[in-house]
Amino acid sequence: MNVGRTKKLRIGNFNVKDIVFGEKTSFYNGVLTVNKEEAIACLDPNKELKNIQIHIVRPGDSTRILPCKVAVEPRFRPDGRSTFPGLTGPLASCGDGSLYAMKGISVISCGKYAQSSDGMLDMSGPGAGHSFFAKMVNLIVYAELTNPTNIDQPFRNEAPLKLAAHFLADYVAKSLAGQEPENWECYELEPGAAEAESKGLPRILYYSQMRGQVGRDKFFNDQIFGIDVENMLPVLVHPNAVFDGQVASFGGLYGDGFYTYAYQNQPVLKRLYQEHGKTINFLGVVFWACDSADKVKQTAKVTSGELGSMLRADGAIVHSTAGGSNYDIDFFYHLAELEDRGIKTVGFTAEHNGKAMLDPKGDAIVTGGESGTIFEFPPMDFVIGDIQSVVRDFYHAAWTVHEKYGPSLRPDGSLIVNGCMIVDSTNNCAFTTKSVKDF
Amino acid sequence: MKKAIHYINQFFGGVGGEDEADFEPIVKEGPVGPGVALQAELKGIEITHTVICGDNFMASHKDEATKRIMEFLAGREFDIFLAGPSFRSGRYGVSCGEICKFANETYGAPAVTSMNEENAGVELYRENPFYILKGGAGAAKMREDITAMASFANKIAAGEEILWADAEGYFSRGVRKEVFVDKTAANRTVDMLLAKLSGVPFETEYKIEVRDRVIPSKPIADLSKAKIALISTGGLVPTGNPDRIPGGTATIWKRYDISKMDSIKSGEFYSVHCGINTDFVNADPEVLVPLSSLREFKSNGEISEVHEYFYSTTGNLAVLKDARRMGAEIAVTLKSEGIDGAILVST
Repeated sequence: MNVGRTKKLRIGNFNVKDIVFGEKTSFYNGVLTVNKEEAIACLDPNKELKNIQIHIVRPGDSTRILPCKVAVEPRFRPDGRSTFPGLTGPLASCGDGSLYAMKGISVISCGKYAQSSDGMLDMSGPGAGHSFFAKMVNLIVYAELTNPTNIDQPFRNEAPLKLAAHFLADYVAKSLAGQEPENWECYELEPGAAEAESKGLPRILYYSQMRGQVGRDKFFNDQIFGIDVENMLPVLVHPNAVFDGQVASFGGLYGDGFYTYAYQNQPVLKRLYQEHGKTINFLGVVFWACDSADKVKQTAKVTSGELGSMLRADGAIVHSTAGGSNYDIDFFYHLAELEDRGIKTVGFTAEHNGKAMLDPKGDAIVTGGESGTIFEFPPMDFVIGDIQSVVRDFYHAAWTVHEKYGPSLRPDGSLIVNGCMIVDSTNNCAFTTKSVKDF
Repeated sequence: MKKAIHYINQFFGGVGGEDEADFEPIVKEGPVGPGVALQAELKGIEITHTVICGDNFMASHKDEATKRIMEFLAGREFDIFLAGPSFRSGRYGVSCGEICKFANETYGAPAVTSMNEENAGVELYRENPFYILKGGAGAAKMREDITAMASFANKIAAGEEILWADAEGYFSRGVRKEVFVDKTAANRTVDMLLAKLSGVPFETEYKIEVRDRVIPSKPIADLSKAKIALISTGGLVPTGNPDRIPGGTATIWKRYDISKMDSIKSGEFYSVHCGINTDFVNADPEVLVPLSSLREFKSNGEISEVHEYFYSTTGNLAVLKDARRMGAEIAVTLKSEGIDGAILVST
């Protein structure tokens, strides 16, 4: 395959108004029809799952889904390359050519046992107002591992369950083959760069933090081309490739944090592209992995700074992968390092009862939400997954013993939890208008 | 019609100036002094009574002053408590803050006062759940401050939603709350960058105030006579987690008996911390609680004793308020056990 010097990505959008089950998996007139048996047969290639179910949930349903693991937008590539090179298929460069996308839906995998960064999706009620996934029609795959391990631990490897969402998404998106998209989005750095350079516009980098502290064997850290980012030095990635499956997140789907759907649709990148050539010269994306050892943090910080200096960046956005504890340290390290090098920064992060670390050099911070917010959610008529996971397993959002609130799950099925519970509640991926104010 | 009580000092109550600062509290019916102008701008709220008290009396006889004011208020119904405005007058500001705190805590009534940012009362009382409006430097700003207090009290009385501190003009109370604003976070982020690059003023959404500096305690004079304890926030618990210590946002701590052990053994203890790769801890729990090293120090005579318990909670995503409380509780326990020093091992 001919790989050019430049990347031009065309995303062909298909708006999906509804999903139904039917005879033949197809997309027609805005409706995605899914053959359930075929779909189930495709999502577990190595036969590592049992009790596989597929559900369709719509906005307004009295349905609660938990624990949620992964969310992806279904994509189809007419030229036959895999949607996530190196992860769901052979390695190839990405971020160029034509890519078909099903808009307005997501595919979410959910299981029986929660890991610490799993969350919950309510399709109606107060929780629905805090998740933009509740405004979409979602295809949910529920499954259990045939041989579950470490179910009493905060983390365990659930790769087959997490990948099930990817295989299911690929399966339904194949129905787009041969169809004409409703509209196209085009992404190409070069014309804007030439214009920006002639105008002398400020050179901008987007730094995006990744999770890399939980151990490779857990299938939990973020991945680039299917490779776990643990111990990865900061790396420059083409923004088109972010939209197009070069990166994926497996660190749970909860109130805080990044998830794969967000990489596929990263709204900060889209806005930077809009400004490219007009007000800024957008250079690209630097991903860095956050680990708990300070040596790794320091190394990432300095290497990120070096990249910024070498690329002669004038400004940078630093995006935290989640809004609390360990991640705060890398976040402020990066802001300070770049400011020290004369690169003007804006940081974006959610909060968790404030921050675990502060540096006044971070003088321009946008916040997405506050995951320490206490929420009460009424019971729902239907639960997909296992409601008992709330008090049996580990969630950032829930507790069995609490000094003030008692157990998170009450006998009537209602919940008292924190803002880590509802999927995307802290707006950490910057999609919604949520913010945090001083009261 | 809602009812309000208004608190003012001896000067604004028309009793006298500094020489009357020891004036003991009295109550008068209806509005007095600045209360008259305040009443004129209140809608649906009637100032039924005015409490007047000397600033010195409140400062030096706080309990007596509040006790007497409580007697005045006994049996009287009111919906809102108002105080001041007190501008930059420090003692008056502290009095207003104290009485608002008292009214708010005792009667659950919303309370509103007004002070200048230089007033000592601001820092003393701003983190209480009532409102201190940002007021002028002196009585020349009386009209503006009264108008602000009245319109804010009107909002409370009408049951309207109280917006964030900057929008309403009160000093933030150390409370962060989620709100939905006009622009998406992505657009706010890029807009802020464009502003910062071009030197246009912008407002950070997370103001950094470095305020909580911990002062280390003095070194132990003679370590060989010291009784030493171990503390961990790494979520180390007996396998099976019998006390259900959460893996994040913990609000409880426990202590576990290690008096019969020479070391903490893998398999007997594990970590429930949800923010780290716990494999290292589970393989060797002593990376969190280095008991065998302490035993060695003890047998070498470098320390006198190892405390029979280690103290445990999970630091992951802890709420500062809970972390402070648990820290204080553990400190009190260690004190009562006669512990001379404790090692809080980094997680």
